[in-house]
Amino acid sequence: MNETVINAIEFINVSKHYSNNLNEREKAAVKNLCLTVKSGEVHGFLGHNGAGKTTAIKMATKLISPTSGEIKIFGRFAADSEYLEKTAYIAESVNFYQFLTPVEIMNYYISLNPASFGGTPKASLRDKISDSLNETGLLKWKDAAVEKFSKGMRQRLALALCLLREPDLLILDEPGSGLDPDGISLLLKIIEKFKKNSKTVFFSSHHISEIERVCDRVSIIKYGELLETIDLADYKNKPAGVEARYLELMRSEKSEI
Amino acid sequence: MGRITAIGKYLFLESIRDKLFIALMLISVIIVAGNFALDFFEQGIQDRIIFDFGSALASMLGAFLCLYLTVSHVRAQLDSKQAYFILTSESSRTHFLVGKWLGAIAFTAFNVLIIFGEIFLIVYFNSGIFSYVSVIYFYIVMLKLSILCSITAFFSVTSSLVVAPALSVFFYFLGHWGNYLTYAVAKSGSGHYTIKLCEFATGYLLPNFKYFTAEHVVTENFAGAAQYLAWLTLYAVAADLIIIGAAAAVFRKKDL
Repeated sequence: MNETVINAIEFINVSKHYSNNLNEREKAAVKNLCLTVKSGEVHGFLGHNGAGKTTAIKMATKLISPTSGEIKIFGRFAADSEYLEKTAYIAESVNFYQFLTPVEIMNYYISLNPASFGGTPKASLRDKISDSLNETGLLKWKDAAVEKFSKGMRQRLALALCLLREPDLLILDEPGSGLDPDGISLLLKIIEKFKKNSKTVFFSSHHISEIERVCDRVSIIKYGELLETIDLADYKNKPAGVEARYLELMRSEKSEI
Repeated sequence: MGRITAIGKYLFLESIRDKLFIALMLISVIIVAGNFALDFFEQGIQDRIIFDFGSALASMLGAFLCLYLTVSHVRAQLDSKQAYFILTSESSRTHFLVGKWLGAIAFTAFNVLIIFGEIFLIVYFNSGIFSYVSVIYFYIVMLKLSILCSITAFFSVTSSLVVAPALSVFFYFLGHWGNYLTYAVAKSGSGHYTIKLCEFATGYLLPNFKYFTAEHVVTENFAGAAQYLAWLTLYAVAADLIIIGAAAAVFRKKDL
C-alpha cells in the first residue's frame, strides 16, 4: 500500500523581490526556490550573509509573502493560517517584554496559543513551565524581570517556549547567535530531542559544525538561489566533509545580483 | 477574544511596572494636588479651576500615553521584531492590533481615572459637592482618546517610528482645531469648493474632537445629556471600528 508522505515545508518555485525606493531596480532576495523539508527531519539552511535564508524563513512563517510561487506547510498552502498551530519560530534576535518574568512570559505564550494548550490542566501547565525553564537553565531566574537577562538568556527563554509548546515544526533563524558554548550545546540537545520525538526542525546557521552534528540534510543557498541539498549520511565516511563542499559551492561561478 | 485580552493584559502589566509611567503619574497627581494652594479664591472658583486644570492635565497625559504606548507597542515592536512573538503564534495580525489597542486604552484609562478620581476627591473635601461632571468627563475623555489610539495604531502599521506619532498628533490637532484650517483656507483666497471641501473633511470626514466636551452634558437636562452621551459613544465606536478596521486590512497584507 502506498502511503502519502506529507512534507513539513515545501517551497514551490518561490521568489521574493524587494525594492527600496522608486528609483531602484527590484532586487531578488530569493529566486525560484524549490526546497523540501521532510517531516521528522532536521534540515539545515546554510549560506553567506544576505543569501536569502531569513527571507525564505520569514516566508515560511507568513511574516512576508512571496512575490511568486507557493509555500506548503504540512501539505497546506501557507495562506491558510491553521498551520501556525503546528509551528513555532525563533527569530535571530529575540526580544520580550522587559518587566515581565519568564513565568509570566510563558503564561502569556500559553494564552496566545489556545489550540496548542487548550484543555491542558493548569497544574500540568505549571509543571511544564518549570520543566522547560529547568531544561534551559533558567529556573533560578523564573521570577526575575527579563530586563536583567543577557542576549543568550533571552535566547534560552525562547527555547524554553519551544519546549513548552513542542510544535510539530520548529523553525529557527540563526539560533546560535548570542549563545555561549553551553547555550549552543543546549540548543543542539533540544534539536536532538525534537528529532527523537519525530518533530521537524528547519534552521539556518553560519556554523557548519552545528549543522553537521544534528542535521539529516542541509540546503545551501547563495544569492537567493538554492545550490544544492546535501544528505549528510552521504558525507559520514568522506574525509572532506560538508565544509569542503560548502566552500566549493560558494566559490563556484554563480553570478552576483 | 482570549488572545486579544491576553495581549492587552500583558501590555498593561508591562506598562504598570515601567518607572517612567509611575513617575509621570506621580508628577501629575502632585500638580493637581497643588491646586489646594489656590484657597485665596472663592470656593466655587477654586473648584472650577481645579476641575478645568485637572481635566486638561488628565487629557494631555492620556493623549501622551495613547501615543507613546501605541507607537512603542506596535511600530517599535515591529521594528525590533519583538512582535514576532505574537505574530508567529496562533494569534493573527488583527488579534495583535486590537489587543495592543485595548491594552493601551486600558492603561491610559487607569491613569486618567486616577487624576479624575483626585479631582473628584479634592472638590468633595473642599466643598462637599459630588462632582458628577468629573465622572462624565472622564468617560468623554476616554472616548476621545480611544479614537486617538486608533489613529496612532493606523499610522503605526502604515508608516515609520518617527512619522507615526507625528501624523497622529497632526490629526489629533486637526480634530480639535479644524475650523481654523477652514478659516485659513478661506483667508488664503481659495475657491468656494475648496473651502467647502475643507469644511466637510474637518467636520465630518476626519474625526472631529470638538464634539467631545462636557458642555452639552452640563447645560442640558438629564434626558438631553444622556442622549448626547449615547450619540457620542456611537460616534467614537464607529470611528474606532472604521480606523482599526482599515489598519487591520493594511496590516494583514504587509511584509514584516
